[in-house]
Amino acid sequence: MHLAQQPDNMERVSMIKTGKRRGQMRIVEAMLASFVIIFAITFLNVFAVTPSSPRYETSDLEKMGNNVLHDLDEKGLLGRFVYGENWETLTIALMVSLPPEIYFDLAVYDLDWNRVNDTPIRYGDLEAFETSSYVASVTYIIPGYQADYNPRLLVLQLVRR
Amino acid sequence: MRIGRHKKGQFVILAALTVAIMIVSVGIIMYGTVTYFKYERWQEYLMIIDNVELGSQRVVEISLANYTSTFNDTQILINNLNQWQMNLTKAYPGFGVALTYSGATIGNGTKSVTSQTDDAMYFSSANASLEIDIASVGLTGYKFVASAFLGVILNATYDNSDLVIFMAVEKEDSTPVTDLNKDNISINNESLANINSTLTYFYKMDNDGVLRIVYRIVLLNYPGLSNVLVAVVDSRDIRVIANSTVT
Repeated sequence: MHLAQQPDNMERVSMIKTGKRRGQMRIVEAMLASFVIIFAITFLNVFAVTPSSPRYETSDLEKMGNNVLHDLDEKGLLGRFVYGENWETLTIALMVSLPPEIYFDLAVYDLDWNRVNDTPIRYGDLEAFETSSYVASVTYIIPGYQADYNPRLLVLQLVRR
Repeated sequence: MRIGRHKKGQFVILAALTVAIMIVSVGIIMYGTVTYFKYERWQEYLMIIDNVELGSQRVVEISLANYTSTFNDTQILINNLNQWQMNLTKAYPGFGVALTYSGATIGNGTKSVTSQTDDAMYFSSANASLEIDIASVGLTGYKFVASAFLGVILNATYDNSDLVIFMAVEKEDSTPVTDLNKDNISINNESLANINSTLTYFYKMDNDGVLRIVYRIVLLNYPGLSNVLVAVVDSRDIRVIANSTVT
């Protein structure tokens, strides 16, 4: 009876040993799998840096400038100020519409690119436009005012203070 | 047993590798999509479309204002739209912006209105169907309609020797014109500002379900008229002329 039980015990010892090994292998496998996934995510993060270039993207300043001109035009104010040559009021309207940290310089041209506004429509130092690393520029066209078709080209330059 | 254990171990590694490949693949697709949208100046194209649409609306209004100054030049809308097509390229060089139009009509006339008095509406109107193409991005066939309208419903009656005129004025989409004053109105070719008169207004819901602002003009001691001619000019300089029998 004692002899008959011995091989059974040996088998049990061997099973316990293989069970432990199997458990260790599971941990090793899990670690390897984790390393593979972490490596994949790290690899992705290195290359998934999205490019940012003002050359290709419409900057916030350009969007802001265009929106301001578009809103003034929609309300019928832009045509009134430009064709009435009311440059001072136009300057104030732009100052009110844009945030205070934005400097602007607006030039009004006819279709042959002759400058129409004799006085500057500007807020901020001229130096800021020369020294700033990025100057946003928006071109806007208005066809005329009331019964006169006589287009004007507006070039609005914007810099952040 | 051994073979079985090895298979299970390989499966976990294989699963992890598959997941990793999926992550990298999705990442590559997202990277490609993001960079594609960044390199195309979509925002700028949208701004151009918005600006061209508003500008074209202004061209139609300008043309109607010009036409109603004499009611003769019916070619003014086509001429202005042709010029606008060319002038756009100066504002947006390099974008390949092309504007085409069809069905440009301009004119004046009358139409019936289901109002409480079943009056006619006298109107001046212009409209055109337009289409924008931006060749640089392959955008074609952005269609919109630009229209300008000014209409007047008129009714005149006598109250003793005072001529009382009721007038509802509306523009596109039955929007009431609310900013009229005496300088915008003339009676029988004479400015209302030069006539001894009062100008007030009230609101009225008509049978056609449109809420109208009705201007009430009282011409004090203005006897002897059987017919009255009223001209209205709005802030866009568009003019409409209406006449009514005095009852």
